[in-house]
Amino acid sequence: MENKINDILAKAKSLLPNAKTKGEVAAISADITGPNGSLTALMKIIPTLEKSQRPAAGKMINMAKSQIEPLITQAYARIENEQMAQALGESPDITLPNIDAPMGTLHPLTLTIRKICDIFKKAGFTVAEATDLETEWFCFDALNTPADHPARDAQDTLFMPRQTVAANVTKHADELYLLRSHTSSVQIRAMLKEGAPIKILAPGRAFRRDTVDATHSANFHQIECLYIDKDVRLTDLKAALVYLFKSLFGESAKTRLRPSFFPFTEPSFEVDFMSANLGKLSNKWIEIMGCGMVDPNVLKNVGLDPDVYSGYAFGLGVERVAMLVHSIDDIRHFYTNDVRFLRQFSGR
Amino acid sequence: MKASLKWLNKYVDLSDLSVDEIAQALPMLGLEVESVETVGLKELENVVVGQILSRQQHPNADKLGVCMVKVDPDKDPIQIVCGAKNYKVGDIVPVALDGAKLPAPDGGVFEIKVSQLRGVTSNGMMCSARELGLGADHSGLLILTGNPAAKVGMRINDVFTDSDTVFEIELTANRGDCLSHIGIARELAARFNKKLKLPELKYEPKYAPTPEGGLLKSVELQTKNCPMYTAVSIKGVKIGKSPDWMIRDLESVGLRSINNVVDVTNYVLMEYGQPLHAFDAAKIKGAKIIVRQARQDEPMQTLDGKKYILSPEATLICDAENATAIAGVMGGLDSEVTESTTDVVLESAYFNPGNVRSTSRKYAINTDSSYRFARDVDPNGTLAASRRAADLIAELAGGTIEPVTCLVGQKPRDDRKIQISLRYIIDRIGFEIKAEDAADAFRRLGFGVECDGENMSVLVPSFRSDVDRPIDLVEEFVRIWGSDNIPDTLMTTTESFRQDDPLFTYANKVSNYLAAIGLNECQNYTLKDSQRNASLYENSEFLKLSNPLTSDQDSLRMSLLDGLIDVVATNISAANSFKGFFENGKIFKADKNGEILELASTAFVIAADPDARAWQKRPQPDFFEAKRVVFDMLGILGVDASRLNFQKLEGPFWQDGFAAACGSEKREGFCINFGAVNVGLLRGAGIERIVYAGEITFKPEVAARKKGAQKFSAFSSFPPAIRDICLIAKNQERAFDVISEVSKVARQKVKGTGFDVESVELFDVYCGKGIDEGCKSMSISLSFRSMDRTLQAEEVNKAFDAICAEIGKKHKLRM
Repeated sequence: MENKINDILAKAKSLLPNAKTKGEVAAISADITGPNGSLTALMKIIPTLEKSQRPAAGKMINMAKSQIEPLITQAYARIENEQMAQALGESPDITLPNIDAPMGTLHPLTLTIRKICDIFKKAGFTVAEATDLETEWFCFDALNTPADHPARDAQDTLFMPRQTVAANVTKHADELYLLRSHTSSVQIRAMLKEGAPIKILAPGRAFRRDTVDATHSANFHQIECLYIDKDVRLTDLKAALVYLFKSLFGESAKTRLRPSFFPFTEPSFEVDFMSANLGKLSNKWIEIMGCGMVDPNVLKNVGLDPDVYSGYAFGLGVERVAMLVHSIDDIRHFYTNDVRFLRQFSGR
Repeated sequence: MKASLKWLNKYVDLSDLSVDEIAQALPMLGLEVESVETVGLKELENVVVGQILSRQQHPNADKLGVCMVKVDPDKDPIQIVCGAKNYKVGDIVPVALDGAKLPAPDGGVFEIKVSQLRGVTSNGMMCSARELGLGADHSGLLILTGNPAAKVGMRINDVFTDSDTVFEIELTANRGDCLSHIGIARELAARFNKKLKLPELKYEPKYAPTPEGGLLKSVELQTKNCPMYTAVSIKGVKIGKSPDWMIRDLESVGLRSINNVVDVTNYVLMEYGQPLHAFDAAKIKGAKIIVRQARQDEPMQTLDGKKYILSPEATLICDAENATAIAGVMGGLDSEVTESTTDVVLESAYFNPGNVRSTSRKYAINTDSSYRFARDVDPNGTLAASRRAADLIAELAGGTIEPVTCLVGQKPRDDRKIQISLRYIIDRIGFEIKAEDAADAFRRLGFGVECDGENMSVLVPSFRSDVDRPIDLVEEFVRIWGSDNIPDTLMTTTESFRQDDPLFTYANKVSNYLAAIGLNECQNYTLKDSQRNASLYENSEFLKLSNPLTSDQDSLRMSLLDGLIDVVATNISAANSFKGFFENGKIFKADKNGEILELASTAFVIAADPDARAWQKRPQPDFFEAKRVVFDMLGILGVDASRLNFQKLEGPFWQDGFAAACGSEKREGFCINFGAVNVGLLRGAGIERIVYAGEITFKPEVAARKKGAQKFSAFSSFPPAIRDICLIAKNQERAFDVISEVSKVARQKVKGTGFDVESVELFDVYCGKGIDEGCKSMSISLSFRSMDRTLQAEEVNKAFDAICAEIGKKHKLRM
């Protein structure tokens, strides 16, 4: 008996791991544990044994069974795994190049806008939007820019015809529509809608009647920054600028305010910065943008009391920052969209 | 504005300041320096006049001589090695001594040191003209022998005294007062705390509207554009050449000398910033001056010989018969002072800045005069400049000044008082100062200050038209205090519940998505060619600008797609490999009545090259890749795309039968177009491959519709029961309609059963063998599920049979 069982076990151990198909496994298992299987046959002779031998024989057969059954299960699993693995095909040369196009890219102007917005978001600013199509009042009058100011001349600003009707751009009175010459118009719309205190960034397109060349573009991008509250002072403006340029160009960057003039701020300044890691432009004062304390007349124009509220505003040229940060020498690259340009700034 | 340093020194003593210090100070006052140009000899230390006493051959070099040179009359001569050949013993030459810093040709500095030249000590260098920065001559030493000014030991700058530095200053629109040497000198005096010296005025006129004995019988002001007009009569002048100093000063700022009288008017213009005009009295017909607006189409010839036809906005200076000048802009040809002039009428007036600006722009006449009037001259300066010019004419051209000046009208503005408190200033600047700091800054600028404790009454002179309000005084304080001295503080933050504009958030998310699927973001111009717009879009005529700069940028863009097609073409011609592009931005659409909407838009193109060489091919993009992208973009925008009913899209941009559209900006707030780009259009752009594209345009407020946190909806933990239905439909029947119908019927039939139709999905479309001609079979899988039990086959079959029976009424079913 014992020999027979050992023979059956040995047979199962040698055949099952080498079975090629599920059919082979089925045949082998039928041969052993099937109704006419060899182990089944041994079971059948138990009743013929002497009573005292029966328990031992039964135990031996059950032990054999418990060893054989996992072998069968494993054999099935092995064959099924092999079948599924066939879907993988041939093992590849893992050094072959990629076939699909690489991940796409965000435009360097988008990346620059995000970078600057992220810097100011840490200081509690949030993004505001308004339309590219604007009116003279929002773009000029409300910003304390009188009707005979040179910026309002048709030589510098792009206007729409008198009869234009823009359904989703509200007018103040019967002024002309134009393409905003700066994103400062967002200040006006935001303050009229939201009042004060207000702390916003307004990235977007602006338009000048400029001939396109290496530094001029018919449209360009600005980020307007406006903070109005009680007790906002000149020192707060300086702190914001120092923070911006240290964030953009490293903590050694220096910032300088130079008195200037804009109709919508008083006092007004040009901002220069200096950085140690800008190639040829390192350690030189670089003029970067205009800023100032919001003129009391602007606050009055949006219904805020200049004796209660004060604040600062500045407008940063996105192309200019991107050109400095990435050493880009020609503004037209931004609008040509050659992938050899676009892929250089992926920011992944 | 050009300012000569020598000229500035007449009003403020800048001799202790270097050019560099001045050039650094001006921008910090708000006067931007465009360029600094030094003419003549620069200030050189340790460069003196010397005399060559002897020359011996250098023992070790054929080409060098060893000279003994006397550089100080009281000291022994020094030894200098020299390679030049053009001198002889006894010559007087410039000598750079130890420590001298000469201008190097590269713009840097070349320092002279005592050194050994081939073993012989040289204690300095004898210089060529070029080595001193006096021109290009480097053929030999600059020989000064015979120059009576050159004495041994003198500083070389005392020999060449005609040097000067000219600052080209770019002024902001508010600083008309600095369009003059006195104005700039005043700023520098304030900055360096120096005294301003104004010219002494000898002529003390009386004023009357029509002075007895004057050269004019009357002056009439018929327009508000000239609030004040003065005229001085000077009789018996002798026109001639101006003195050298005046010619030099004028030339230093780029003006040409004409004659003594005209030169005086230009000199005083540059000195005071007040434009003046000298009339030949004999040419003023009727001895009458009338200031009036031009008549419609009135002709005028200016002194440069150009002819203009004027409109009534132009203001004219006229005599009894003709116009003699365009007021504040340019004189006429007929009234000029010439060699034969003996009597001069000297005009000094105030013209309305806005009127001068618009006239000068309209006729494109930009003169030193119009530039200054347009930026508001000082009404008190109008009077002072007139007196100064009368003094100078009398001095340089002789003649008698009539004691009474003709004055008509009155000053449009004058000095004014502004009350300001120390607290007000500190509240604006954010740092502590003393009342005396502010008072000192104002006084240095020439303002009068009366202090009453911390309250100040500041008298702002009329030359500062830009200082009107307390806040303007704050700016003046900061300028003089120095914006460099604003203390550094930390940025403060405040609590805020304001969120980013949803459009910005959307744009960030959709850009991240589109970049992640392999597309490159683009930026194209908002301005487009109106003809191209007209060829692609409806109602484009309403989007034209009124004053475009160029015809290829004369209209607003109506879609982002045509720009992206250009990008594809550009990149193909550059032989670049790419998958596709996208852009986010504003576009504009007009309805047939011309009403414009500004819309947000996101567009993409997929234009992978099907023939790109690759070691393993990939399936090419198709219509459903574009559809997937569009649906994902809609999802990011917050629009449920699954229920949208797309229609076939036709139009010049799209390939017929391969494009779809849905929505309208006016109705739903958004519009979707996508599909294959018209093949003819592509080939016209030089693109020989299939391009799929899509665009969603929407009113910006659509991005704000998705609000608040999404609520969880519970799902079943029991298994679904799936049943497939296969029906025959006509070929032209749209999948959307069939699925909607099956879905509707299924939902009806399970009502009251206690379970739901979880999904209705089309999974196979077939036509061909076994299906009637012109028909197709559509296989749709229905999934049923209950929230509270595992479904029994019988109950599902019952519902499914009912559904099939209903569908079977309309369609043939295949089981």
